[in-house]
Order: sequence, then structure tokens, then C-alpha cells
Amino acid sequence: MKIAIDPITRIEGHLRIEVDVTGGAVADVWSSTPTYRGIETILQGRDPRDAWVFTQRICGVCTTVSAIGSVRAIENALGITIPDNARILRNLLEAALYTHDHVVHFYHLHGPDWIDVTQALSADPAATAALQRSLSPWPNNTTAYFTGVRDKLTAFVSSGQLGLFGGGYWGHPEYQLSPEANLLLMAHYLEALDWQREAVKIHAHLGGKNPHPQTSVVGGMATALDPTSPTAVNRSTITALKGIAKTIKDFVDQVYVPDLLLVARSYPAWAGIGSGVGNLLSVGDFPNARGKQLMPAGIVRGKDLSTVEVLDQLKITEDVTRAWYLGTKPLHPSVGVTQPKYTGPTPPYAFLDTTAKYSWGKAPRYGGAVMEVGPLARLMVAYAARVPRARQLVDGALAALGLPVSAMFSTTGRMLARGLETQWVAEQIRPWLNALLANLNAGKLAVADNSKWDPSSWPASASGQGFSEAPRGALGHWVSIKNGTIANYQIVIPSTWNGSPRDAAGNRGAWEQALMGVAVHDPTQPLEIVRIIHSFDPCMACAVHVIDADGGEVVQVTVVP
Amino acid sequence: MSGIVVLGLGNVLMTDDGAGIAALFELDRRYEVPDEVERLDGGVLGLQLLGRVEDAVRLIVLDAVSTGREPGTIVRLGLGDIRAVFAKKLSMHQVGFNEVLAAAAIRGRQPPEMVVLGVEPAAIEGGLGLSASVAAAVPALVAAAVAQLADWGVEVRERATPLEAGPGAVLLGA
Repeated sequence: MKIAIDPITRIEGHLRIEVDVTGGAVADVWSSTPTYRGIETILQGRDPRDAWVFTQRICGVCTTVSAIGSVRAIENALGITIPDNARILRNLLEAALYTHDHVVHFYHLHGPDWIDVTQALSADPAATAALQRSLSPWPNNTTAYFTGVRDKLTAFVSSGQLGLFGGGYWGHPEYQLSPEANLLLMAHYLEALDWQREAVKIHAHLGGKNPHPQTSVVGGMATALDPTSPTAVNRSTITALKGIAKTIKDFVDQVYVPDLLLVARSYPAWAGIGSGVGNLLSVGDFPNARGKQLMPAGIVRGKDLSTVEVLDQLKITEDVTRAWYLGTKPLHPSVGVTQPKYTGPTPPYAFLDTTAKYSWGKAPRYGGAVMEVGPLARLMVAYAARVPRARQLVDGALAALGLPVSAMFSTTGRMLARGLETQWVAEQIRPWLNALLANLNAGKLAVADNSKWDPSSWPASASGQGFSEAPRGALGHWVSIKNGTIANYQIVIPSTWNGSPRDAAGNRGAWEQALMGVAVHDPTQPLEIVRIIHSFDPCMACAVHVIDADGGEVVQVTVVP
Repeated sequence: MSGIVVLGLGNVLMTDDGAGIAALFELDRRYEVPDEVERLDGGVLGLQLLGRVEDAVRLIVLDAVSTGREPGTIVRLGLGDIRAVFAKKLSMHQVGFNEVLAAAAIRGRQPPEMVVLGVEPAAIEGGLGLSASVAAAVPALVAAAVAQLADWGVEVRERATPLEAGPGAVLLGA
């Protein structure tokens, strides 16, 4: 039996997973990106100083990092060193993105895979309050509070006209939380909606707006620092940002991470499901004043956490054997080409021809090997590199759950890694703000090095690369500049790694490997597959927005016996 | 603040999906809208719009709306007509406007008055500019928004001479 899971009904869009289920388990799988972007082609011939404005539009969620990757590539090509304030500001913008994005992912995207709202309606509010008090000091822990939330949910569900949660897999036997845990998590789902409005304000202060902050610039940042100006970032801005930093950290420490452990504890089997390829790649990010990254770059192979390989970006290649591009052999992105040639079926179609080319995503490989990127890769590369805080966070969570470190290579492990790195980053925001304040007080106000702004100061040709760690994983930009304009530009985004199709050797991509062999209880309700894919947090391309008047299914599940 | 918001939604890079944005541009080009009416290009934002939606007292949403009618048909939906559904999703990008409405509703913060004024799309695929039937319907969509504002007591005057074509022109094929 073959199943296609396609997120969009009206067009063939974004991410598509085709799965062959035989004997109740996944026998084979194909991950496809059915949308062509072409950002790299758009950039050719343009001013490299403008590139970040375009690359940031790759994604409406991970906005900041796709700008930072670009300016870093141009700075690398032109030999520009950014001032300390620009480093701190970039770290802060990325930290705000991580914390906001990961929390929203957990409650509003991944949460419904584990939380059954219909069960929350039968919860005992007093028992839910007791559960909350056992988890953390979070103040919303009274019987009255949870009675209120339960009544609100009950009224909403029974009102009927809104068809609340109509698209879920509610009642699927794989939902295993107690009614009280469901109510508690639904309460936090609602609280997170308010929290996220506050958390994102860091971008408004330092980036002008969200999404797509507007203060990137080749050479540093365009965020003015001036203690005497009411419109620049001044002491009172930093005080306001510290307030937001506390709001972020409190929620992550007292709500998100405890809830994550509650879910992990309630679904013990998932610490052994969806383990995936076991090769991890991180380009590292969050540099300190000496250039050392908070989360280091490196490679872990074959789930071996006893050692870390040094990352050599020259070993990265992209293979288009099974992708809709012209090209024959794997190429390093610095000489990569993007020449689209669609040979797939004409939409609408039921299934792709998975014996031929089947995706717009290329297949990035590291020295020929398939790699997983993302929070798990970042945290476990840091763990294997013996970074003390990474060790504390991972060992602490695993001890609380009674799991061995090998359990990190799983669906649960990916969820834990996302939450634990959120905790790690959230606790850095205040120290970074203090560093910014110290510079402000010392009169160190430079935010950009403009000495190479003028193209007449550039060599006739230059090339460089820039890396950042997006919330969803390693991001790389490669640029070559000739006579002041972009001659070639290649981008490898996180989901190109994770969602890659097969390569010339037939190796499956990271998602494909993670789904192999997974038991599927009911192929018409492939909750297990969705849980695993969500654990990677796919970052597929631009959204299409059409209001569906009858609220129809967004994920089309086509089953062919 | 009057709390009146006109919110355009859609992806201008996906042909008819940009109809709501084109209408938002045309509204300002052809009419003098008082400053207290907030005009907001919501693009393809999802939950980031929650605050703006919850803060609105009277909300007009301009969008491509798919109900299966003839392309170019103007569609009017009241709050009760839109099933705000937390649908199954594979990516953050699919957190759409239905979810925003559902989240506002469950929190008891839906705008007291809200209407979706939409146009039935002919084609939604990669590309800049509306299809002919939808482009031809944009003036009617704008007129529907103006009529709704008038119902709410907002005086919107048609300009004697429309402003020069702005960024919306490319969507309308002008």
C-alpha cells in the first residue's frame, strides 16, 4: 500500500512524503520538495551588498539567519571583520529567533501530534493543578485556573460552528497522555500564544520588525547604538530587552522544558523510534568576542559520541541524480550550478515516479555521506566535543527520564534537543545584553566596518562562504563576486540536508532513513510518520495562503491499496 | 484608534493568491481612506497576525477565497462561515489565517465584527500578476470593502483622479 502525504490540497506544494507501507510498517519512502525556488538564479548579476535582502526571503520563519549567512559570505569574500557590537546584535537576533521558533513549534505544530484536546475536557482541574505544581514553580497552578481553561475549551468545542481541531487525528490509539496532562499542555498552548507576541519584540527593537528584520548590512549591522539618542538602541532599550529576556527564559525553564519532559516520559517507545542516519553535522554559531562559537562546528558519525570530526566545508557536495536539475556529478557549492529541468508528472498527480528524479531538493552530502542537521546535530556535536553546558543539559534530561545517551538518536531525542538548546540560548540573552551595555558605557558604538563598502575597494574577483545555524539546522552560503556583481551564488539550507532525495549511490536522505521500518497503525491516519517528520521541523518554501471555506484537510492523504 | 482594520492576505508570487494584496493597493489608489482605518499587508503571515486581529474591533479581510464558484466571483464570508480549523500541518508555514481565527476565538478575543471579502481564484501557481478574470474583479472587491466601511460609518471618498499606479500595478497587469 502506498501513501502520499502532501500538505497542500490546491497546489502541489512544499513537502511531500510518499511511503510504501507493507505489513503494517514502512518498507520504503521518498521525500520530495515539489516547489522550485530559484533564489540563486535571481541573485546572479546583482550587487552582493543586496543579496541578504533576497536570501532572507527564502523563508518566512527562519528569517534572520538567511540574512546573516549571506552577509557573512560577502564579508568572508571581501575580508571584512565586523565590530564586536555587530557580533552581539546578530547573536541576539538569532537567539530571539531560536527561542520564539522552538516554543511555537513545540506547542502549536508538534504538540497536536502528542496532545489530544478531546481528552483534556474530561480532566480533573484539581489533579491538573497538582501535576503543574509537581513540574515547576510556574504560577498558573491553581484548580480555579485549570477549571477556567477546561471550561473555555469545552465551550469552544461544543459551540460546533468553528469545527475546532476538526483536522486532527483525535482518538487515535497512539495518543497516550492522561486527561490532566492534556489539559495542562492545552493551557500552555494558549499561554504560549501570548508569550510569543512578547518574545518576538526583540526583533522589533534590534531589527526594526519581524519577520524579516531590516538591520543587516555587509560589514556589520545597521542598528544604531547611542546612549544619548532616544531613537537609537540606548540604556533604556537594553533595560526593556532584559525584561523580554526574563519573560523568555522563565517560560522556557518553567513551562516548555518541563512539558517536554512530561511528553517524553509519557511516550517511552518514541525514544526508540525514528532514529535516522546517525551522522550529525553542525556548522556552529553564536561566536564570542574571541570568535569561539557557543555551539561548535563538527561532525559526528555513526552515532559515535566519543569523538568529533573537524568540519571541512570543502567536503560538502550537492548531488542532483534524483533531483530535477541538469548535472551529472556532485559539485561543491562554490562551483555549484542550479539549472532546473522538470521531468516529473504534470500536476495534479496521485504519485511521483519514484524510480526517476522526484524532488526539487538537491542531495547535499558530506564526503559522500548523508548527514542530519538541526538541534540534535548542534547539541550532540557539542556533547561529543565535551562542551560542559551541553553535557549538563543532555545528561540532566536523560537522567530525569532514565534514558541512555543513545536514546538521543530518536524522535524523542530530537524534541529534547530542541528544548534543551532553547534553554541554553535563552540563558545567553542577558549576558549578551550586558556585553552590549558594557560597550555602550565604554563609548564603543561602532556597529559596522564600512571601509570596504565602496565596490572600488574590492578585488576584481573574490569568493567566500558564510555559515549560520538556523533553528532547523546548518545553513551555508557560497558566493563568487566578479567586477562588483554576483557571478555565482549557492545556498544549502537545513531541509535540503534533511529532506534530500536519494543520491547517485542510492543512499536515502535523512528523513527517508528515519522513516524506514516504522510501524504505521492506520495508513489512513499516518500519525507516526507525521510525528517523525515534525521532530525534524521541516523548513519548506514560501507559503501559499488561501482560506479554505469549508476548512478542509490541509494534508492530503491518498491511500492506494 | 477606531479599531477598524483592513487586512490584505496572500502571496503575490502565486498569481491569484495575491488578489487580496492587489485590492489593498487599489483601495488606497482609488479612494481617500481616513487615517484611522488601518490598512495592513498581512502577506502570508500566520500567528504573527494574531495580535493585530485580536486588537481589531472591526476587521475586513481581503483575500483569495476558494469556495468552488466561478473564478472572479466576489465572495463574502461572515465569521460563522469560516470554519476556523486547527488543521493537520507538516510545516510552520502552514499555520495560516484559519488558525489565527481559531486561536483568537478560543481565547475569546475574536474581533466583534469581521467580514472576509474574497475573490474566487482562477489559478494559483508560481508567477507574478493576477489572471484576467480575477484582475477584472478587483474593482468590485475594492467597492465591497468601501461599502463595508460605509456601513461602519467611515466616510471613504472616491478620488477624482486615482493616484499613479503603485506596486499593485504589476499584479493587475497594468
